[in-house]
Amino acid sequence: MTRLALALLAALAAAALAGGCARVRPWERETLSAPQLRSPPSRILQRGELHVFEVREGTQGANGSAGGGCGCN
Amino acid sequence: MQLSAACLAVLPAAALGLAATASAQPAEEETVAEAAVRVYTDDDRVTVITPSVSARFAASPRISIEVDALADVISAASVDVTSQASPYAFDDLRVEGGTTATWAATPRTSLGASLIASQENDYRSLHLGFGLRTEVARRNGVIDLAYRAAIDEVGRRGDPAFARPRRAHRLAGTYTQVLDRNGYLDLVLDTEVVSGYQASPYRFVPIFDDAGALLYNLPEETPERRAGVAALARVRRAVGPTFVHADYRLYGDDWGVVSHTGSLRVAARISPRVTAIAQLRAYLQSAAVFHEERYVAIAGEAPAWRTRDRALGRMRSFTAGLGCEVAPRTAGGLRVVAAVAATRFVWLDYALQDGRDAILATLGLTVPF
Repeated sequence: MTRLALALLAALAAAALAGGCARVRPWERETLSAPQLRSPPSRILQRGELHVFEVREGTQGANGSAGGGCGCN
Repeated sequence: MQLSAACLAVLPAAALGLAATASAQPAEEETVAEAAVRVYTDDDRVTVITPSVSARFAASPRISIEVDALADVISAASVDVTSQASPYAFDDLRVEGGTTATWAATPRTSLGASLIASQENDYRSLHLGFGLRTEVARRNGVIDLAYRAAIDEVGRRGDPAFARPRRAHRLAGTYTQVLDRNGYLDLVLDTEVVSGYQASPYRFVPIFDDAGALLYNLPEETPERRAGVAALARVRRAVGPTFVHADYRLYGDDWGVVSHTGSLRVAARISPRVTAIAQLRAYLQSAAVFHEERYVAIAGEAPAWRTRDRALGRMRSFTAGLGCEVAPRTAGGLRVVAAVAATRFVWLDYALQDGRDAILATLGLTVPF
């Protein structure tokens, strides 16, 4: 299962690099700037959830993300 | 107390989270205040009430500051606690405060620094973080790097002479790619090396002989170094009026613990001012190589590494949650978020308990100013 997961992650990384060639223009980013697409969509909710899981599970990390990149500001 | 180290485990996420969110969310409001109350309760007689406040504001056109504070008010009488920490129920208080400064060095690159301090009766913690965020590929990609150092001291209630250091270094890299007009892909690689005392000062491990007779109880002992790597892939995508966040996380470390986490979050705009949120999450974890249900002395000698930490054994958790975010028409940008999530924790190797059911309820306010 771990090997399969690694392979999937590697495939996604390759897909992301390939997708780097794609361009979305600033005037095409209305949907991308929606607050529901932020990561996390709600910091208040995420913080509480992280608290619960990281306290009671044996592993942690990699929960954040770089967010938008929508060039809105 | 048994929950002390556990409660402090949230700090790494908070430190990285502050660095990441402060420097990597171009769509966030510039000046905003948040207040929230979270209540965690479970059928193992543990209740944690966590009020928190935070504020983010622009100190200058290129510098933003975020400050936050929270308290964990803990009341517990868990079988885990009573069997390992104390024969009594206990109450405890943890207080945490932090600040993050972010400097927009260029229109596309920002630097951040964060400081978080936490205190409770038997655990002190200081976390320092630094972050770099830059937009690439004509703002179709974001690279975010975050480093955090943790300087902790583990104590033991009623024993002022007990003080053990714990250090951690964490480096996380994130690449976010705009996929198309409707979505993003996030790839995260997060590494952490922890050194120093990582056991619980309250846990004692029973050691048996070959015939199954109890010989003695010894303090929990774990390796002094733990290095782990977590990788995550997440897709965030709008599908009509619905927004889907789906992610998978893989974790592995040199203690032999491997975990798989999958989560799905759906947010649906049911009106211009109301968003409904639903969440599912599943977590599967293997045991540390030195974790055993029963430790047996060999030739009269106890194993060097021994633990009764159920979080180092095989475990599962499953979560389902519902919530909503409301922006009242007359409230000048104020938003209210409320959510409830139920989690079933399952421990496959823990003799005292096979699981617990927990509820996390959250009520929060966000106010632009």
